[in-house]
Amino acid sequence: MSVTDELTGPGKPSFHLEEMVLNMGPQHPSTHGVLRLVLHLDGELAVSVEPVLGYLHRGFEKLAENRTYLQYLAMLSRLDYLSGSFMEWSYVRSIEALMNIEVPKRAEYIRVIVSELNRIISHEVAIGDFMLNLGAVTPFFWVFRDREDVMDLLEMVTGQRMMYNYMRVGGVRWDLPEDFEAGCRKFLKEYPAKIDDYEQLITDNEIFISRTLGMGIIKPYEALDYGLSGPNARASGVDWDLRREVGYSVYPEFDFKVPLGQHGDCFDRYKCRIEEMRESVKIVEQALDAICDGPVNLKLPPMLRPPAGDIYRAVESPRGEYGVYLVSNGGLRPWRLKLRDPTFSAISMIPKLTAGNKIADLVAIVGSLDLLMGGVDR
Amino acid sequence: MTPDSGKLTSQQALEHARDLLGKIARDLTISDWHLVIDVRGDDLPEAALRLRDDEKLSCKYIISIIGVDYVDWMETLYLLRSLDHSVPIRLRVRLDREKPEVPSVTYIWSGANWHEREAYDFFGIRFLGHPDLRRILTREDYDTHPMKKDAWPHRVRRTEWRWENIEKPRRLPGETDRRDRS
Amino acid sequence: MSGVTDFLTSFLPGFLLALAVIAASAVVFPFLMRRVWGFMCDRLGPNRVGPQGLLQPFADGLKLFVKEDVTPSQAHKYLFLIAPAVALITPMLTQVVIPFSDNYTIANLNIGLIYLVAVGAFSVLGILIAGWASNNKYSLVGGLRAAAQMISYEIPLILNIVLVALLTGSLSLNMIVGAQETVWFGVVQPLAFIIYIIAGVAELNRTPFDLPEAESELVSGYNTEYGGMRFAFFAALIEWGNVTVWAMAGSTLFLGGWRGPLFNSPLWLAVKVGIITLVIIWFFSTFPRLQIDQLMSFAWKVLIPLSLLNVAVTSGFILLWPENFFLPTAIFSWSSIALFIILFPSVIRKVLLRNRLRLLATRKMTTVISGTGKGGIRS
Repeated sequence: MSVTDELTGPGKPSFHLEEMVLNMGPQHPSTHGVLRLVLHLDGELAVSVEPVLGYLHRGFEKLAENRTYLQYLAMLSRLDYLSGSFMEWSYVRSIEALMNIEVPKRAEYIRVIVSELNRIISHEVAIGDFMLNLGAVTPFFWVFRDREDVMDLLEMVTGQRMMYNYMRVGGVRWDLPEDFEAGCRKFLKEYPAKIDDYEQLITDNEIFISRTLGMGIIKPYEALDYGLSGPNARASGVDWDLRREVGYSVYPEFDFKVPLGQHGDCFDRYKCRIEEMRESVKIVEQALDAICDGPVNLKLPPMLRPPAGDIYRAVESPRGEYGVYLVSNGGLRPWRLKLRDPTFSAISMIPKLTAGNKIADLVAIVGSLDLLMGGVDR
Repeated sequence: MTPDSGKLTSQQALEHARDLLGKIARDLTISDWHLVIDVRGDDLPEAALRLRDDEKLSCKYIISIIGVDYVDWMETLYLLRSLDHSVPIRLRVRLDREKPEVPSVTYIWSGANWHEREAYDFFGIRFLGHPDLRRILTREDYDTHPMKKDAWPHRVRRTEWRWENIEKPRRLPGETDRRDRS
Repeated sequence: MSGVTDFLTSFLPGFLLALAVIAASAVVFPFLMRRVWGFMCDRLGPNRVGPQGLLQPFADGLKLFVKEDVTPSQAHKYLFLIAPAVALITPMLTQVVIPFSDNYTIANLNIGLIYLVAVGAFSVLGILIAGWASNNKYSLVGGLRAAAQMISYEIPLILNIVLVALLTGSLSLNMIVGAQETVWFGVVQPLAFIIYIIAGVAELNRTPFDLPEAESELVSGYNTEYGGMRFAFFAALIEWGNVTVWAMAGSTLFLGGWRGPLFNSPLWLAVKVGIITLVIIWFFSTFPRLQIDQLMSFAWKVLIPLSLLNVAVTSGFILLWPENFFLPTAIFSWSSIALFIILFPSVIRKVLLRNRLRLLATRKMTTVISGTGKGGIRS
C-alpha cells in the first residue's frame, strides 16, 4: 500500500469533489419569510434545490373546524398578509354560494375597489422584494413610500392597514367613508406617474435586464402542469384570469386587459405585475364611476348555518387563484375548510426551476415568483 | 356564477365526460356548475389520464387535491380545470378510513406532488407510487395526522365527529366551552 | 539617535495622519451615504442624534464597540481575529504615497505608482482570510467571490494607471500632480477615468459589484460571522477606508490631486474624494447587483480590451507626436465615449439583447436537470 493510498484509501480519488450543502433559510434575507431552501452547491452552482415548508404552519384549516363561520373571518387576512381582502373574499363567496345569498350591488363594487387597491400594494411589495433580491435597495423604499398612500385609503375604509376583516357574508362591514372617493381619485390620478417612475428606475436598467431576461423560464405547459396561476402563469403566456373567465362579482362590467408575457422568464413576471397594477388602477376608476347607492350588507343571523354541502370558490388574488373549498354539515362550524394557496404551487416549482442555476439567479427566480409564506404554510 | 358564453356548459361537459369515461365513472353529478365525477381508487389514474389528454375536457391544470374526513369514510378530491372551458371538474374518490390508500397522480400532473404530500400530512392518506411521500407542513416526527377528526381523541368530544350532528355541542359537566360564547 | 528622530519626525506624524484620514472617512462617509441615499429614497435618513443626525456615526460606533466580541466556536481562532487587522493594513499603507500638498507626502517615493498598485492588491487578503476563517459557508463563498473579483478587476485598474504613467512619463505621484497643472488627465483621458471608476467600484466591492457581501444572497458575505467591533472594522473602517484611498488615488491621478481652480490646498483633495464617493453612493442607490459570470465577462470582455486599446492608441500618439500628444489623445478618448453614448440605445443594446436571447436556448438545456416533459412524465 502506497502512501497515497494510505492517505486517501484504496479506490478513492486523490481529492474529493464534494457538494456543499447549504441551508438557505428559514432565516435569510431573501427567502420572503421563513422558506427554507436546502441547496446542494457545486461552487456557485446550485445542483439541487429542495424547499422545506412548515415554519409558519399555524393549523388554519384545523382551526376553522373549531370556530363559527363569522369568527373565522377575522383569521383569513392573516394568511396571505399582503393581500388579505382576497382570502376574505373567496371565503365569503363560498359561504354566499352555499347559502344562495345575493349580495347587494354596492357591496360588490366596494369589494372590487378594496381588492384592486389591495392588489396594487401586493404587487408593489412583490416588485420591491424582487429588486431587493437582485440587490437594488432603492426601489424597495420607493414602493413602500407609495404603498403608504393606498394603505391610508384602505385604513380609511376598513380601519386596518393590512388585516382588513372587512368582508362579511352578504356584503361588507360598513359603507365607504365620505371622503374616500375624493382621496381615491386623487391617488388614482397620481399613481400611474409613479409606476412610470419605477419603470424608469428598473425596467430600463441594463443590469436588471441582464439579470432577469431569460432567467427562470417557465413554459406554458409547465405552468399548467404545476398548477401555477396568476401573474406567474400569465407571464408564461397562459391566458387565464378568473376575473375575466369566470367573471365573478361585477368584473364583467369593467373593461380591463389581462397582461401576458411571452417567454415566461423573470423579466416577464416582473413586467406582468407592473402592467397589472396599471390595469387595477383602471378597474378602480371604473368601479368608482359605476358605483351605485344602496345597502352594503344583508341582515343575516349572527350564527350562520349554511346548508349541508360542499362548494369551491376562487378569486384571482395577486398571486393567482386563491380558492376555498368548504364542506358544511349544516352546523355552526365548517366541517372542512381547504384553503388553496397559489404560492404553494409556485414553490413546488422551485426545485425544477432553479436547479442548475447560480445562487444569485436562484435568488432572482425565487424573488420573481412572489412567494409569501403566510399563505403557504397556513 | 355562470360560466362565460361560448364555453362548454356543465351539462355538455357532463355528457362528454360520460362518453369519455364510460364505466370508470361511477357517478356524474353537477354541483353548482362544477362537474363532480366519482371514481374508484383503482380507476383514478386511468380517469385522470383520459381527462387530461382529452381534446375537449383537457384538464391540464390541477387546482388542488383535497382530503376530507367524513368520520365514516374519507375522500380525496382532485380539483381540475381546463383553461379552454371553464367548468371545473372534481374527481372524487371515496377511501376506506381504516386504510386510506389511493394511487398517486404525480406522474400525470407534476403539481400534484405537493398537494398529495399535504393530504398525506393532514389525513394520513397514502398515495401509492408517490416519489417522495413525506410530511410537508408539520414536523417530520409529528405523531398524528392533524386534520383527521379523531386526531386528538382526548380533546374533541365524540359527539362532534358525527356528520349528522348539527346540534349545538352538548356541554359536558364542569366544562366551560369558550367556543359557544359567540 | 537618528532612529528616534526619524520615528518622531517622519513615521509618527505620517502614521497618525493615515489613521486620521481613515478614521475620518469611516465617520463621514457612512453618514453621508445614509443621508444621501435616504434623500434618493425620498426619506430622511438618520437625523435624530445631534444636529441633522451628525452624531449618528459616533453613536453607531459606540454601540458596536461596546458589544460583546463573539468568536464562533468552530472558527479558526487566530485567523478570525487577525483578519480585520490584515484588511486594515491596505488602506493604511496605500495612502502614504498620496501627495497632500506641494511639499507634503507621507512617504515621497519616486515609484509611488508601482507602490500604490502593489500594496493595493493586498486588500483581498484580509477578506479572503475573514471568509475562510469564519467557517461559515456564506462567508466562504463571499471570500472566494472577493478573490476572483478583485483579481479580475485589478487588471483594468492597473492598465488605466499605466496610461497615467504614459501621459506623465513618471511614476512619482508628485510628478503626476505636477503634470496636471494645465489640464487634468481626467479631461485628457476621460475613458481611462471612467474605466478607473468602474474597475475601482468592483475592486472595492461596492454596488453594483458588491457580490462578496451580497446581502440578499450571502446574508452578509465574508463578514457574516463578525459582530461588534470587528464588524465595525469591516463595515466602516476598511470598506470606507479603501474607498477613500482609492478616491484619493483617483483624484491624484485624474483630477489634479491637491491642485484646484483658485488655490492649491489639500482641501481640494478632500472635495474631489467627496465627489467620487458621492458617485459611489449614487451607483449604490440605482443599480441592482451583477451576477458573478456577468461580472467576470464584463471585466475580461469589455474593460480589459477597452483599456488595452486605449493604452495602445495613446502609446501610438506619444510615439507619433512626442511633444504634443494631449490633443489627439483627448480627441480619441472623448470621441470613443461619444460613440458609445450614440450607439448604445440603437446598436449595442440590440446586440446585447440578441446575444442574451440566443443564450436562452443553451441555458435552458443546462438548467433542466430533472423535470417533466410535455406529457408530464418524469424522466
